[in-house]
Amino acid sequence: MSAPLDIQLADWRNHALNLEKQVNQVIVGQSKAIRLMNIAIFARGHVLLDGGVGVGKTTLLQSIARGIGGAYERIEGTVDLMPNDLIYHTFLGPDGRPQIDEGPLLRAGENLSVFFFNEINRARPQVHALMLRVMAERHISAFKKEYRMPHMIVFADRNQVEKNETFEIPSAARDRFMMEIPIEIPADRELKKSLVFNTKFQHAEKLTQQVESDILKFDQLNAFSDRLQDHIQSSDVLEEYTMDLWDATVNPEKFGVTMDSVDISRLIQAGASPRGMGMLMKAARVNAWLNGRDSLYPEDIHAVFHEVISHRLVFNAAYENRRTALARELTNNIIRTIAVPSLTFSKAA
Amino acid sequence: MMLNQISNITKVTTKLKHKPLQCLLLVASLLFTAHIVLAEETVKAEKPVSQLTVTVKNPPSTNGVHIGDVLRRTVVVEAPTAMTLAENALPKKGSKHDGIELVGVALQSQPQSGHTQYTLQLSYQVFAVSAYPSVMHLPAQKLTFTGAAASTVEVPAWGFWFSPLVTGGTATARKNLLPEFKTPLIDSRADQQRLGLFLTLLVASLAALLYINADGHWLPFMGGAFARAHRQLKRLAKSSRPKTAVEEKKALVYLHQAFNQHYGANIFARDIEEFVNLRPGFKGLRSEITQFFEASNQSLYDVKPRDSRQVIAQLVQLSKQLRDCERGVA
Repeated sequence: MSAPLDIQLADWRNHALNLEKQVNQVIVGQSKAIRLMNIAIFARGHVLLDGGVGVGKTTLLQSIARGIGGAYERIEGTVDLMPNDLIYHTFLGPDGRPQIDEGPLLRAGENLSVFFFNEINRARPQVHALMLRVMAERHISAFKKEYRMPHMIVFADRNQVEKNETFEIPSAARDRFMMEIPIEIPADRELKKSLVFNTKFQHAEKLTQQVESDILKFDQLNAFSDRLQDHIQSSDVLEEYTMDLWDATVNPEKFGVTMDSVDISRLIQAGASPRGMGMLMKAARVNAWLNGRDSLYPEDIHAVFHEVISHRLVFNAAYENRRTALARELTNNIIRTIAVPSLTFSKAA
Repeated sequence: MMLNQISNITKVTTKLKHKPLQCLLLVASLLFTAHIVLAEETVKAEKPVSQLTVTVKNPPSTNGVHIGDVLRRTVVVEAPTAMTLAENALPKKGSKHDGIELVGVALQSQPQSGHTQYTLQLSYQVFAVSAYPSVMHLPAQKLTFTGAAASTVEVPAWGFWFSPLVTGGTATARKNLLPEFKTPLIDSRADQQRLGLFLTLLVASLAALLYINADGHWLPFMGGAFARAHRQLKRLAKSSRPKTAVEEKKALVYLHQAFNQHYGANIFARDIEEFVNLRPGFKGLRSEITQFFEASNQSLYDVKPRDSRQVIAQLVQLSKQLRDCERGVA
């Protein structure tokens, strides 16, 4: 017989905060990214990481994977990577005969908890297609049998700086990711000095080993996530506010949202999708739970709004090359402008 | 001057035609009492009352008399009881002499022991015209007494200098005419300043009271966001509609809108620090503002029932405090 929900929620919350604390001890200056990744884990959403080279993405992911428990797999995106490279690879066995082994996607089977796709935009669209299908369905047929990966979360990295020999992920594919989380070099000078001069940060493997393993029990996360999502309530005011936010991603000028650098009426081609808004609320509920609440507050939405929504917005082609900055400005301005509680709600009431 | 007084207070001895010895005695007594004449305006004749004693009091100045001036002579006669002043023989009012008109005759008689005192008041008004100063006279008068020993008393003429208003006629007057000068005004600047200061203070005090306490927004600077929210909340609190969760949310909307307007954007609990830095006038209410946002979150987003009436009443109080901060009077 399982423990009462309140106790489960409190226990899991302690575990989640413990994971955050331990990862924060080995990865410095990334507390916001770690909180967002924690949210994604409990909301069961895949994550697109956006960051430069050598900022500690792999160490971060390995640390989190260790805390979650389960298997961690990784593949590098290259221009010649083919979909079957994810499923299997061939080699000559000791007897000199060719052999086939399961690829990184299948190798761990149901124990796979974290799959890291490094530089996903260097892989061809065929690879994207396979990956996105696995992300959505969490199972795949190979070797005449069904492989299930129910506990898998994909963390994909894309290099936004280099554009040569890259294949941009289409908007429909980006929509499958719950969040796009920026991993940036810490702004604090002392932290940066520590990263450079403190030798403990030179040994990624040793750092990862400092994180306690199996803090979360990866194979229980799906069930707990469902209970968590059912538990967190949202009021009618908040639901109206969410609808306003959604409309504002489609038609920001209707709500008086402005931007300094662009004509906002020409900026957006498509706003957030229903799936995107659903993921926004899932992530917001996790944030509310991590803050010890049973109800959603606007602050919970704000905590994840940019990371859940910005990569889903489709800008007109003229603005795509400034996507990162414009998306940040737009989401900030939407939050600053859309009033909650609003007079519209008051009048309607 | 002294001589004038002597002349003004002339002692007149009655002409006692039938008693020359008495007349001499009277003159002698006058000489003996001359020093007393110097000190007094009037001198009474020696008694006995068997004879008439006359005292005349003339106008005080013999010069500077102008046309229209009224000159008064007072004649006091003490007569034996047997003698009576003939009133019908008194000079007539309205009689004129060289342009001097008798405008008033008043007689009083007062019986006393063994004699009667008559006081005759004669008023003359000068209507004479002269282009230059000249000597004029109040006419001599005769007073007649009847009785056992009829007698007459003569009041002598009295000379004075008449001064024309204008010497030498209008031609000379025109020459000497001084320009009319404006009468100097009383300096009231100090009073005006005090009055202005008082009125300024009064108006300022009234404006301050209005500014601090008034709910209305008659002046542009009274229509602040929190002042408006306070008015809306008071109206909501006073309305007869039941205080449901909907009303409570309306109340919260009013206050949130005021905060948003002051902040220039949608404000949340995390922005309070920035808000009070932006609007230092609200620093004193930082904890109240924090409590408001916590309560607002619970009311708007927690699915738990609350006492809406109490919440609205608390919001009315808070909005008043915020309005005072907004007006800078907290």
